Parts: sequence; C-alpha cells; structure tokens
Amino acid sequence: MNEESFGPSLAYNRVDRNLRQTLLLSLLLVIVVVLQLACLFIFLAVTFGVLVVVNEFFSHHVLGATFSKIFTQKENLIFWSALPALISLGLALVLIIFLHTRLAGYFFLRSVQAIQIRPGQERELWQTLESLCVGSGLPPPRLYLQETQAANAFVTGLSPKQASVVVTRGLLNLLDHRELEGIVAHELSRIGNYDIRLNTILAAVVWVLRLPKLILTNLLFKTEEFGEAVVLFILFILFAVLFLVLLIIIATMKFLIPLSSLVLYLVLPIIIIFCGPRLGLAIQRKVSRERVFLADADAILLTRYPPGLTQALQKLRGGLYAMQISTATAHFYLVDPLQRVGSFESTHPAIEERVAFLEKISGMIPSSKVGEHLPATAQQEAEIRDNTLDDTNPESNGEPRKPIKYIFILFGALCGVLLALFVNLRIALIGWVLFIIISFGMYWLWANRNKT
Amino acid sequence: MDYQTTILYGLAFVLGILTIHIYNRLVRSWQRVREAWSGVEVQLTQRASLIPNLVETVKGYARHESHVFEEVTRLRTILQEAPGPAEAGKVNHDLHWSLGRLLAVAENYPQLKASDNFKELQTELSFLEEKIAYARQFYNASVQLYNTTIQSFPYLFLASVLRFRPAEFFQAEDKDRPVVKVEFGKIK
Repeated sequence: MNEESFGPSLAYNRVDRNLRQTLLLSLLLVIVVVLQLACLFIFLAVTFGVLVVVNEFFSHHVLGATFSKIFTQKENLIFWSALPALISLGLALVLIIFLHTRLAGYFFLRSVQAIQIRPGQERELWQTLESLCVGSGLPPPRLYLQETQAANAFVTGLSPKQASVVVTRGLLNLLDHRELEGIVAHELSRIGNYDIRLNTILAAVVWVLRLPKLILTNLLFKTEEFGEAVVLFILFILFAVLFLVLLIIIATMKFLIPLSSLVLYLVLPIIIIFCGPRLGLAIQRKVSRERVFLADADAILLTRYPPGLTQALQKLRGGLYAMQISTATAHFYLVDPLQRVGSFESTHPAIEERVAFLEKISGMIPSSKVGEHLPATAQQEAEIRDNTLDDTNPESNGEPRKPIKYIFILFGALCGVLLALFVNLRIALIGWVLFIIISFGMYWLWANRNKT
Repeated sequence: MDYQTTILYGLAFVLGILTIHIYNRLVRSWQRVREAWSGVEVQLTQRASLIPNLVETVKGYARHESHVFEEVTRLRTILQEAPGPAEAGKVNHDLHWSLGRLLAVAENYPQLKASDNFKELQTELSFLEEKIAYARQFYNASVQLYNTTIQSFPYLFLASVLRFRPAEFFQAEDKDRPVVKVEFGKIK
C-alpha cells in the first residue's frame, strides 16, 4: 500500500470537517432543546394563567383581567409566547455549556488519582506517545498513569493544547509495544478530532433537555436532596417570572390565543417534554458511537499498522476493562468500563463491532477465522468480578419503565382532548389542570410503590 | 443603478471573495509543508548529534572496522548539507543502512554489546529512527495534500500565476535499497 491510498493528514483536514460537524449537530440539538423548553413554558404559563383566571372569580385583579383577555380573544399567541422562552433559555443554555466545558474535565482528572508521568519515567510509553505526536502534528498531551489492574485508558481536554491522556497499569501489563501504540494512537485521534469537546457540549445540551421533566417531576414531589429541590425551585420561579413578565408585555400588544386550540397547546407540550430527553440522549449516544469508529480508523491511519489496535481490542474482549465509575464520564474511556453495549444509549460500540470494522477497512483476515481472544489470568478475572456493576434491575432508581410512564401521559392527553370537545372549554381547562395533578400523583405513587 | 450594473458588481464581489479564499488556502497548505519539513529536520538533527557519540563508543571496542565508521561519518555530513527533501531522502536512506551495519558490527564484540553506554545509545537511536519515520510520514502527507491542491481546479490558476511549485517527497520509495546477500558460510 503506498501513501496515495490513504486520506488527508490527520490533524488538519479532519479538524476542519469535525468542527463543522460539531457546529451543525450542536445547532440541531439546540433547536430541539429550545422547542422543548418553549413548550414547557407555554404549558406552565397557561396553567398559571388558568389559575389566575379562576382566582378572578373571587376578585377583580388587574393581572386576572389581562389573562382573561388572553383566554377569550382569538388571535394567535403561540408564536409570541415562544419568543420569551427562546430568549431566556438560549441564555441559560449558553451559560450551562460554558460552565460544563470549562469545569468538567478539570474535576474529572483530579478525582481519578492518576500520577503524571515525566519524560524520564515509563520511557517506552512516553516515546510511543512522542512518536505518534510527531506523526500526527499534534502537541504532546500530558501523560498520566493510573495504578489499577483494570485495563483501560481515557483522554480529557477540550483542545489538543490542553489535553491529557491517562493509561492504567493494567493496560501496560496487558499489551505489547505495537498494541500499546495502537491504543495511544486511538486516544490521540480522539484529541485531534476534538471528540471530547463535542461529547461535552452534547452532554450539556442533553442535560438541559432533561430540565423541564426534572423541574416538573421534582417540584411536585420531595427530592432526596433538599439543595437540589431549592435550586430547581428557584430556577422555576425565575424563569416563570421572566416568562410571564414578557408575556404580559406582549399580551398588551393585543396578540392573543384562540381558545379552541388551547388544549392542543397543552397536550403537545406534555408529550414533547417527556419524549424529548430520550430523543436527545439517543442522538448524543449515537454520535458518541460514531466518533469511536472514527477514532479507531484514524488510529490505524496514523500508525499504518492495523493489527496493533485490532489485537489490543481483541485482548480486551475478556472484560478486563471494567471499572466502577460514574456514567457521566464513561464516554471518555477507550472501552466502556460500565459494559453497557447493544442498547441505543451505549456510548461505545461493542468490541466485536469495532474489530470487524477495522478488519474490513484494512483488508485483514477476520479474526473469527484465526482464533480465540486472549484469556484473562485468574487474578484479572477476580478483578473483573469485583469491578463489574450489578445493574440488572432498571427500576433500582425508583423510576418505572418507559411504557408505563408514557401510558399515563397519553391517557392524560386523551382526557384533555375529550373534555375540550364535549364540555364547556373553560371547565375543560380547569379539569385539565386537575387531571394533570392527579396523573402526576398517580405516577408518583407508582414510582414510589416499593419504598416504605 | 440599473440591474445589469448591480449584477456586475455582485459578481466582482463574489469573485474577489473567492480569490481571497483560494489564495489563503494555497498559503496555508504551503506553510504546513514547511512546518512539517522543519519537524523532520528536528529529528534528523537530533540523530546527527547522537552519531558521533555512537561512533566513538563502537570505536573504543572495534578499532579495526574503520570503513563502517568512515561511511557513517561521511553520510552524516552530507545529510546535514543536503539541499532539499529529495536529496536528503536519498542520503538518509543510505545513512540508515550504514547505521544498521554499524550496529551489526557490535554483534561480533560481546564486550561492546554488554556495555551500558552502548545499550543506551542503541535504544536512543531506535527511538529516534521511529520518530524520523513518523515525521517523514507526516511530511509526505502534507506534501501530498499541497501538491494535490495546487493541481486542483480552482487553485491551479492562482498557483501557477504565483509560482507555487510542487514540493518534493522525503524518501518516498525504497527502489534504491541494495539487495542484501545472505552468506551463511560466514557464520561461525
């Protein structure tokens, strides 16, 4: 194979293309987030407004008068109520992403207790890293060693200049020089492709996506941590106040909603609020998996030696990479330490898939024709047993499984529509609010049925 | 202003933007080639500073193998004065093989092989050779990109006007590798 058959230089053209991809994907997710949060605030404001209208039966208040105007006139408010949500939540999103990207990597590295390796120590590893940096045009990242028997590696750092690579002792013991080279090339490719920055931004966006659901479910019930509830409550108050102030300003400009489509505006947001987080998460995880494939491909492009990385992955198939870490940081690792594979929410593809992919693009003989993976020693197997999480019960955190939640929501939506069609609309609104409260109550009871 | 003039101005504006973009792309590409070449030179210089030390160490034990020492020293000097990447590539290739022969000499001198100094230098040299290989890989990839760019459609006009020439590859082919004859009779 001569050099013409390979693609462009690692560092430069990949970076340009990936920066564009990052931008596009972030934009897409931002649109999804904003739509979702706009729905939340329309819902909350209308609910709030309904309560104020009910209050108006007992007193003539200027606020009540404004809202009764809103609910009795016929122009379209939906677009204009989305606008304040867009503004306030755009700001929130930017703030959250900024904080997340700046702080997450730093704390993560500190929490892992890895020792930095100076150029004089661990010579072979250091020289391998330096050679690969020369080959890829990247500045050498800081190198750390984590003293654990589990064989894994990860990277942090938002840009090549601030990057760090952490390798475990178990990995050094397991692999030979060529395989280690393949692994380090994979990590370096992740740095060069700005994978960490992409994943962090997407994770922050997905977190913001979960916010409406969190606010709704946690505000109505007690949270475990009082501090969390306080923060969420304050957030809710701030946003609701901001939103309502803007809404009043807009309402005085005579843009008002038609009553007949009001129920739709209540039903749709609920569905979006509860399905949105799942969708966002699925997008993020899919992107993460694709990036792992890209990093693998770039690694063998860099080392020009596909069997290195392939054999390293084969050796890891026995599960030697298992570690107990939090789910938030699992996507930085070489192989998923929590061993979640196959589902739509896994951050890494299965090792067999990665090996098959590498063999396909490099024209190697498929490993199924060659032999078994390297068996773990007895000590390593004991280590695996200690480290593998017992995560077989999805209801261990108190949430009912997906279908049940969605049944509640759809049932509530259906009731709302029926009420609107067959009963007086004003009564429908009040009944709808009551029904929301009842269905949340039922949902909460179901979720906590196992607790004393 | 009538619409024809507007269109003309618009077109001129767009062409101006395109020209700027093309020029910047060419300059960036060329600067990357130069940067990559300086990376190669760094590694070559490091090896060049290692060689006298290595030669002295081996000389200390194997004084009579003078032809190997002379060749290595000669090639080292030529490499430092090489005019461009293609020439440097040929000389580097020969130097690499001479160094191999120098290290092979050590096989016949067990005291030399066992000395810590020699082992240290040998390890250093192997690390440096690996780095040179990677630097060469990176440089050649940059050159390939640059050469392709200056010959591609929108860029070739400006490139020929501004005299962007294709860059040379560094040691791209091993055509000149001498055929090694293995003579089993000489092994004791």
